[in-house]
Amino acid sequence: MDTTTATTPMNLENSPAFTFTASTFQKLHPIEYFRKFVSQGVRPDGRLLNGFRPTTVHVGVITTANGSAMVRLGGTTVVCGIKAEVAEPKLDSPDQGYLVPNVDLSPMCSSAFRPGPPGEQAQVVSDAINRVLKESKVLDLKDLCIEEGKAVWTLWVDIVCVSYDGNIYDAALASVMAALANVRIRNPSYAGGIIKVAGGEAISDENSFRLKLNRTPLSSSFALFDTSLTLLADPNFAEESISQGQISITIDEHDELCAVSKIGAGSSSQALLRQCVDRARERSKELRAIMSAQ
Amino acid sequence: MDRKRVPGPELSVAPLVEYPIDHERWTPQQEKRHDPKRQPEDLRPIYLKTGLISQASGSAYIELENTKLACGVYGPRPVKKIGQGFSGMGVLNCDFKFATFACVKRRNNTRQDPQEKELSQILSQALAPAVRLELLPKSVIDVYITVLESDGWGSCLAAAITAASVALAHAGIEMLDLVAGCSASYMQIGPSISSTTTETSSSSGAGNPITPQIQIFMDADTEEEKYEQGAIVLAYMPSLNEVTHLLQNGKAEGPIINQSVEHCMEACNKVYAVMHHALLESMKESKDA
Amino acid sequence: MSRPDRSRTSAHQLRPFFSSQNLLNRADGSAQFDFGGSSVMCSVVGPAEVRIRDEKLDRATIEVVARPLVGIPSIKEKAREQNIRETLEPLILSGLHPRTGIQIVVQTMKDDGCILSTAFNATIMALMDAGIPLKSILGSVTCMVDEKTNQIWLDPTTEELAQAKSAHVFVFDNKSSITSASAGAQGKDADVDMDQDTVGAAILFSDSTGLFTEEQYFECAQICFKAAQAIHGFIRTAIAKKLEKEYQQTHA
Repeated sequence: MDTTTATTPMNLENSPAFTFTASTFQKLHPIEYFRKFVSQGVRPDGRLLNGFRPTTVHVGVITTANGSAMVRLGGTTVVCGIKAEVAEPKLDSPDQGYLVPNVDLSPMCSSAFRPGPPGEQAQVVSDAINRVLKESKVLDLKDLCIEEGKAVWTLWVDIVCVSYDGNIYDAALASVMAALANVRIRNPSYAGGIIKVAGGEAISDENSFRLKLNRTPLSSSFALFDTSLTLLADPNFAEESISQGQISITIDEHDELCAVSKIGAGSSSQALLRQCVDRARERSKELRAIMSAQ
Repeated sequence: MDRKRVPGPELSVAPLVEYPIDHERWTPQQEKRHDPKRQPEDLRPIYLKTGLISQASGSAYIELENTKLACGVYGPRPVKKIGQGFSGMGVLNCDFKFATFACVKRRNNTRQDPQEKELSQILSQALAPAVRLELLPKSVIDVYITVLESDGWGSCLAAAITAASVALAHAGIEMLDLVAGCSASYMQIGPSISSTTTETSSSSGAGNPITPQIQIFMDADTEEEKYEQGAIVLAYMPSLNEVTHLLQNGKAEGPIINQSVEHCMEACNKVYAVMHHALLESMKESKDA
Repeated sequence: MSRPDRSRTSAHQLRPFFSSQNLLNRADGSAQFDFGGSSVMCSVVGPAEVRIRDEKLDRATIEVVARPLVGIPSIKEKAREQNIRETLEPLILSGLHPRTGIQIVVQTMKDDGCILSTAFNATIMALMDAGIPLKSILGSVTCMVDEKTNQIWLDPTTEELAQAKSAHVFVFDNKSSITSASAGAQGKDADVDMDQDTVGAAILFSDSTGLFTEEQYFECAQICFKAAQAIHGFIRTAIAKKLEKEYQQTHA
């Protein structure tokens, strides 16, 4: 097919000045290209507007971690590994452990990220996950106490993005929750300021404990496209970069909301938010089924 | 204090692991490998797949049982840094990174540690001779490696070399040949090796020193590395029959080193078949798509 | 039911708020906004030159820097920067100043809860003081749901936030408040089925954490929307006064 071929200027009103192949058009006018799809109710990757990408969850993938999970959300792949270490508690909370989630968006997963310390997006996602875990009291930090005022467990929750294709928050939160449910820590013994765990025999229910999770918040994100604020569920990288704003709804298994955020784009009606909450409810059920099938 | 991460406690340590007295640990004296199913010359089964990272020009994921790492290649792209001057040759930039949970001991990832820096350099030295950088002036190729889990230092580096060259090929970058990586460790199978013939040898062993027998274990895991006397990591281009990088550490006699290099070259040929297969698969997939 | 903050009698009462503009003489615009014991100072520089790396060919680059009360910025400030920047980007007519930069610095002066809301209000005042063209103005209010009584408290203090089950920050612009007042006639959402009962104020920004139900969320939105009208009115009066003063000075 010819690119940039001028048509004969016979009827200027009816014929476009140039014809492009689809991929050229996509590169030159990404938004207009996308708009053409959206007006037909589909997206370039074949999904419907409210469709989420195929999701898989695998737990226990990293044997050097106390708990781990790998989540694939279409082209986005994240691995969450949790390591438990012993630390001194804070003076004002002598019986509480630490839960420290951090997201790493390395230059390996996308050219959008630079090497070096975490960029803005990584920091913002880390903060959002940290807030959901703390504010909706997913884990009672008192369960992580070994000896009051002396020693507590620190759960280093590190999320590594292997491949980035949008919607990192949903994928990261799902991997954190799956990994937390997968954590096994050997029963500690405290004597004279030293924490010991028994090694040797294989890890089992007798010599280790699991974490008691009060709830499992899972999020569903939607990009807001164009001034019409068309909702695009589970945006991929290309959709994220051409959309103006985002709505994220985090919901737990008891149908309680854990976080709602609407950022960017123009003002959206409350009906639009309700629509998001309804869709998020369905989606989190589906995702929960995928996670429990593991 | 790191201000760009969620703060945790200033200091945290892994708990002490206490083994029961009757706990039997693996030692090389048992003449068997840590994984009893493997013979000394056996590599672990390799799983290699391309195209995992959707945004990268080329990518590969490799798994040797518990050694798991991902590699993403970006480029060739123009040199970003202004003032680096004109370069007639392309630059191959490698970045090797361990996930914090990749090793038995947690790695604090606030800064690139010296080991990561060293491995990055080795990687770029091992790959550069294979890549036709002279065809890519004013450009840079970025190779990023993230180790998700490491089971053996040498095998990790070898896997990174293998994965990176497959990822480079997947990115369509011209190369002279694929580079396969392989590691080998020398283990001292002590005098107690002949414990089956018992008394005589052990009593004579106390009297006059017997030269310890050295066994070469291919693709050693973490547990075996604890007892190694030395190790080599070889990067080798099987079709050209050329070595691009050889890393040797520890003490060993000349013949042992020669022998292990030969072993590694043989193993690299096996790895090469796996790399070939992975690339052919990716060709098929892109044809179907 | 009384709330821990003794100075207020009603759960739906805002703390006394006030603002002063043009406090910094080296910035193009500045403003301080106070919600009771919380205070945020904001300065605006621009449209000015911008680093080539950040330059945008069709519009101005907006940069937000948030500074904490004490110490150096942490990831909390980073999240605040992103929240403010992404909310203001559609509001500022940045197409009028292509290839320039607008830098907004938000400095916390006193912290007694609701810093994000205070910062939003301070920012919009400072932007107007700097004469940056805007599509509409915004007003932000925070509310929380009490853990024990499930009551909704508007504009909580730090003390009150400590016993919150959930906390909600909302931002409303004055444009949508007009349209939603006129029986929810929003041409924007043509494809959304408009149920007259559920139509509420259009939300420009929302950030909620904790544990809450859908009903609580929208109830909070409604209460905050009503309170935001007071902020909008206040901003309008402040600007009218300022313009009046300027007019007198130039025509004296």
